[in-house]
Amino acid sequence: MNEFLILIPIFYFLIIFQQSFLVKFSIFGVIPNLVLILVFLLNFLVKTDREKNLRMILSFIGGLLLDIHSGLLLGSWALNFLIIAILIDKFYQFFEKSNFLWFPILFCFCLYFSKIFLNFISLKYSFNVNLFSFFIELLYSLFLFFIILFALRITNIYKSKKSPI
Amino acid sequence: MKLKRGKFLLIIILIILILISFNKFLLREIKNAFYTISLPFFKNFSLTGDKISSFFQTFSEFKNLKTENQKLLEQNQNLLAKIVEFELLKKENEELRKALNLGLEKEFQLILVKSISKETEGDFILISKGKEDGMIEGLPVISAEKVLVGKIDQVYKNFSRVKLISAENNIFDVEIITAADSREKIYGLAQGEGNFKIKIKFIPKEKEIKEGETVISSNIAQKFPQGFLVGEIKKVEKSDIEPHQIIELEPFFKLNLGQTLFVILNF
Repeated sequence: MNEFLILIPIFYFLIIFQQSFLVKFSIFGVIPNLVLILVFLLNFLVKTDREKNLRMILSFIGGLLLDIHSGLLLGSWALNFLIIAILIDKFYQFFEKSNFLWFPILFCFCLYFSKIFLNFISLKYSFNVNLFSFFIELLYSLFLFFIILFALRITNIYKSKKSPI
Repeated sequence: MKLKRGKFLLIIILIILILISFNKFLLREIKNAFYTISLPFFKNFSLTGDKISSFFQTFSEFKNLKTENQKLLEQNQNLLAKIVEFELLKKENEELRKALNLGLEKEFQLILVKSISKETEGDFILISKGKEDGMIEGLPVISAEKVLVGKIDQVYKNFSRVKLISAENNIFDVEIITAADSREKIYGLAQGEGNFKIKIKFIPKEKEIKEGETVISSNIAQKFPQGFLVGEIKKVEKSDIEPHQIIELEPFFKLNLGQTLFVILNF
């Protein structure tokens, strides 16, 4: 359990990093959400029932920290990440034995879901997402996503866990 | 099983109640405390980001340097001609003021602020002054180069959240300075589209507007002070079925976000 608690300060530093450092490298004004990437990886790579609740709590805390550093209502990102964690947990069995190329597609769904969810939370009630910005954010996020994934594989952090990669 | 489900529901209800009460009573204090803790990290990351991005920018802009230099030289010549024209007008204006016995031009009371961070979702930035420094919601934020940046949206004890002019659904009135006839005034409604994008709507198709022309703020709706630089026209779209043209803007504030900003206190 303790090894996962390190993720809380990591979430915090990722938020500061993306809001102060990554802003300088925005593409068409778009900055990727590193916390979302980490929440997605956490829920996909760590797959043991023992850590199920911890994964959900950590996703929720990551969202709370992001809420504090954003102008949205406290709980918007937290609920968003919690739902993403629950959805990944429910549908994981369908992708367990599939090719890891499913990863980007699933990440695309998670990103789209978070956009729609935030639209509803911020009382816009719209399914519309600026497709151009969404596409840029997706590509930018996937680029960082694969860098993190590559780093994880090199360091063998999740070698012993049951995961699709 | 029933007991487990009941416990789960109770936890969910408790979390929701805590979140609601935090949103209602303690959110500003919590945010202020977190921003205070994060401030040194924000500053360091921001400085490092500035250094690295300017290093890469030098490489990417190297090939365009020659054409840009030529363009700037031409612009410089045009500006020099305009300065001479303005000097003459200034003298004339001063004489008229003397003659009419008018007071000095109303000056703005400014307070210096630092941009700390930009939110991931939406065009909002955090600045280094808050309620204790006299910040109130609705005050305009500008840069030293007279570029309009945005408006204070939320005020915390030591920090404020600024809604950039390009924030989604942010509507304000602007004036387009046309090259054809500088005396002609064209007004329009600018609307933020998010991700540093602004569009100007409701300008009749008959009005001749060209790319590269400058847009300044107007105070018809009293939202922002008049005459501050907003952006440069990037694209003009005209359609046969629409009575109005849609104009895409390149906001000027993009270049000033990392720098020192000012809040107009007496607007």
